[in-house]
Amino acid sequence: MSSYPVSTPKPSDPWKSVTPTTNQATSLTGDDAWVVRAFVIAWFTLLLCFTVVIICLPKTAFLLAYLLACATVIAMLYVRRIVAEPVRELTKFDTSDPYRLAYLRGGANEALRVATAVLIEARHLMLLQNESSGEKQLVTAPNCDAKSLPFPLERAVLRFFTTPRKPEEMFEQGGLKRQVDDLYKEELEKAGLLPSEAQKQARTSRALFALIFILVVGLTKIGVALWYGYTNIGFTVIIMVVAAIWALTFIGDYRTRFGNYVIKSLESLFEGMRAQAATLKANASMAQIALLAGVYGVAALPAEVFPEVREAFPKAPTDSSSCGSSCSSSCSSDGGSCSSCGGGCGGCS
Amino acid sequence: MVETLPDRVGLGWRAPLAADILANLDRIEVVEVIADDYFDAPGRERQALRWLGRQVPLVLHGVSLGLASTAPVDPVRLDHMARLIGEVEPWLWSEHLAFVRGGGIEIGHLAAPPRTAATIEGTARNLATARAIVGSDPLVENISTIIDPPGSTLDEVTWLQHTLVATENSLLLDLHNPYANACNFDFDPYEAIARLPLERVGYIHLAGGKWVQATRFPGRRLLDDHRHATPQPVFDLLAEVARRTPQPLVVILERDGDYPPFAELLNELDVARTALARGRAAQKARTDVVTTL
Repeated sequence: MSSYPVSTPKPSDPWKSVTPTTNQATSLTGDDAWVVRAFVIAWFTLLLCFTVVIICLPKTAFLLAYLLACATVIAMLYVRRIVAEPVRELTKFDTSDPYRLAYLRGGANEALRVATAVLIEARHLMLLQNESSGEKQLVTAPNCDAKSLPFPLERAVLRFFTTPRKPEEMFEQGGLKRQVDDLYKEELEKAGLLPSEAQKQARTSRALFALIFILVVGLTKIGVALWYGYTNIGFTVIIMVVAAIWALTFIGDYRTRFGNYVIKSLESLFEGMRAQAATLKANASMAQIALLAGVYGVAALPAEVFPEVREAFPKAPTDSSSCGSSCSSSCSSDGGSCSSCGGGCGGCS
Repeated sequence: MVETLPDRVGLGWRAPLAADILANLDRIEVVEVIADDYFDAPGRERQALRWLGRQVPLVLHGVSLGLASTAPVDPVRLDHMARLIGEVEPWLWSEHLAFVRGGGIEIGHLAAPPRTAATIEGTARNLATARAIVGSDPLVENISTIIDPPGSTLDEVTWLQHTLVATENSLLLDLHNPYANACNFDFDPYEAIARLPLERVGYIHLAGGKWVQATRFPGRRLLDDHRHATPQPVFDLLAEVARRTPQPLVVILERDGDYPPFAELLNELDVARTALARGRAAQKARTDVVTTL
């Protein structure tokens, strides 16, 4: 019997560390394969019937029906995601490593960016500027002892900048990014915060089904209209393109809903500290600065207070909340182009 | 078999301390959150609090119910508390034995109620209402005062004793409060603590205060402002409580401003652990002697 004065209605002991269980992927056993095949056949049959019916509708009725059908398909993608990726029983998540939070929020690039920012602020990294070309480079401070730093990621970044390099180079180096992935990816996938390979495949399959529907119906109607000499296809094109892009955002390795829950919780808990970001440098510990950057990104550090950090990353992503299911390709330029917002907005390769 | 749980030491959750708390959860075993800050908070913030409660044992602490009063407690506030507890599922919840409003006027302060039979009866009634609406009993906290409440017929400890007899609630013993009251009204805090039903102590508050010059009466008073380091006599009182109580104790350090470097707060937690260990060792030594005899 516990002798603690538990007085709440549910005096469970939920804070105890729960070992992350294996992320239950949506993989199918052989017995389920026939269900999938039947679903695919039924889906394509319905699609064919629906396409025939819908393209026979007059112009306005077709637009309305197409719009509703696209909206329904997108809504089904959301519903399917909610069902397939439930917010699990809240487990303990190690918040002592700000780079783990940054990785969860934005992938390897974001973890590297936050680690570099913290190291600059701690004077372990120095920012050099070529006066003639204006090019900026980072180099490890002469007296810095990498072994004394607590986080492996910090040590890796310091080793990387032993020779002066441009900050963007660390995003290009497969080796450094791979090290970050090795540190955090598997752990976060096991905890259900990042999607497993099977979950990513399932997301892609669902999005492709939706995409096929949107494009088949839209393109068929456009083809029929053009065949008969009609050119007023603008609304159909707009609906098709918007719906297709929307469906495409469901593909990718952004966080799970559970991962989003954790990130949003952390953002909420740190809101008060973010409001005081301008005074952090004078009053705060390095742990506070690191966690603030880990949870909100380097952009949460005001440029006027942390000028060197912002000089090193002038185009750092500003917000994590834009990532997730509605992630677009608006990643920062420091890592090159971003194809599908992989790993949140830090997935630029 | 009786499971023996260890004593836990933790800190009050405040926005400026948030990052440091989350970065040092290996040294902070429990956090206490001011419940009233979340009564009207959006769902996202309450969800965040629930998540926090899964990272570390979480205690909700109320400051505005005004339970120690002949006036009935506001059921709307209790309803807010019930909803918050339902959503967050904290480990415990607590509230002050304070008088905060009367006749429609909010005094904006956790004032000591007049120590009379009427306020004991009113407090018991309010605690019964709290249990009925919230579904669980709060731990109730003794408070500090720099004036003797007007109209009192009982001393502080007697009033507390009778209140606890009239209810089933456990005690949240704020150790800086009897220390401050003892300084202000010249009594022995050890004697006061010895008279309390220590087996009903659920958790403990530690805090610091400062001496202020009284303006309306002679002398100076120790103000429990939670903005200063916990003084050593309060840690000594903690050791005394640990020596006298068999049950595991939860100790929360309160700090409401003038935040020092976080290492200092962690150091205060370590001093509290040392005091607890000292008290437990003394208790064990005493038990061993009794067993030998």
